[in-house]
Amino acid sequence: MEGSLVQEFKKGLWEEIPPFRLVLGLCPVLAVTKAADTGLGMGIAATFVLVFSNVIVSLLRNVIPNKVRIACYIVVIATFVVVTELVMQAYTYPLYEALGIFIPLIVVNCIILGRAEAFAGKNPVLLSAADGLGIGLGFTLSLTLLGSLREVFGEGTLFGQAVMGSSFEPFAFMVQAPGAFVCLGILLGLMNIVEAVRTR
Amino acid sequence: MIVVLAAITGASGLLLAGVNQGTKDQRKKQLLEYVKGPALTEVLMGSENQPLDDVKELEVKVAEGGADAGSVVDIFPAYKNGELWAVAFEMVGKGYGGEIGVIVGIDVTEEELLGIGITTHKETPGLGARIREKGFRSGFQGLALSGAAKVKADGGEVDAVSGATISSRGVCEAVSQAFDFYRENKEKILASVAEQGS
Repeated sequence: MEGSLVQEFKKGLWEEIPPFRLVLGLCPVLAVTKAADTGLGMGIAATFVLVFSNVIVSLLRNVIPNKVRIACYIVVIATFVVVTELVMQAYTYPLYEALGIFIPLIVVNCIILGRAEAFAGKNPVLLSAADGLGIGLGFTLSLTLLGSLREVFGEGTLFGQAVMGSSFEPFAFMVQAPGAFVCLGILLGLMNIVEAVRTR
Repeated sequence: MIVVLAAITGASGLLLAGVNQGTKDQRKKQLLEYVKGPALTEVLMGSENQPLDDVKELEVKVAEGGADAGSVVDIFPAYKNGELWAVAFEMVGKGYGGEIGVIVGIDVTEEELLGIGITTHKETPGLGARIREKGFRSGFQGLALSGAAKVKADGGEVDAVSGATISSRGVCEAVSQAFDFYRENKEKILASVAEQGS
């Protein structure tokens, strides 16, 4: 049991890391990675929702009737998203304003509904929690990495602090939608190369 | 099946109500600091005090619309040379996408509108959201408290944001309500904040 707990956790950090290997949840990824701090904030919020919804779905997996399971999952997920939104409004208002409409959109983030249906609905609580935590952490790392890259090259700052010299000319393309796609594609390609080398 | 569904939604409702209650005060504080604060500071620029610190809660019966009848309105006073110069409070108007919160600053010595600030709104970015712009808001300065605020299309003096008449009307509604509120409760308002530091 111990081995598989760690296993479920680790797979979210490489083999099934969203959005690069588990290509889900792309909509918020492109929008919130204009800067590193919003990427990090969104990752943490989504991880919280993912872990708790996985746990509740797993606890109720033998009780929820099969025909209405998607509806039940959505109620559970939406509840935790609203909790997250209220807490953010209360304690991290600037981040809440920066993420704006993408916080309620966590409800329809395919990663969360996907894990509930594919994993938490069929596995015991601890494993589901580990799965949620691993995938959530992987998601957070991906968002922060993508956000950092776009922020450093697109604005010359990282987490708001200037990191490129004063002669640096910001590559504004990076902080706009096309730049997001290009960045995401390049990272995905690099990860595929690394994986191919690893398994040779 | 019904039992399970009812149980899940019931538990969800309980949790949400609990978190809502628990975070209410903190959320109000954050709103004050990040949203109302900057708007207030801009409207009451030139005051010697910090209007946020000197806020007084007034229990009033508000006529209709806006805040609920018989509710509490926060009055933010501004003093100059130790005397009461202006008061500001927030009123709500109905915009295109929802409610628009407007901070209305009133010069009590001149009995005219000092300026307005927009706090919360759900208007369309690029259109209705332009009510935030200085160009639109400055159109309200100097309005007499005895009248109402109306856009030019309704026979008034305020230039609406082009393409956003409904949002502009919502702001006018809030400002008109502010005028009514001030006229109806003038003594109470002035008495509550007459003394600096009272």
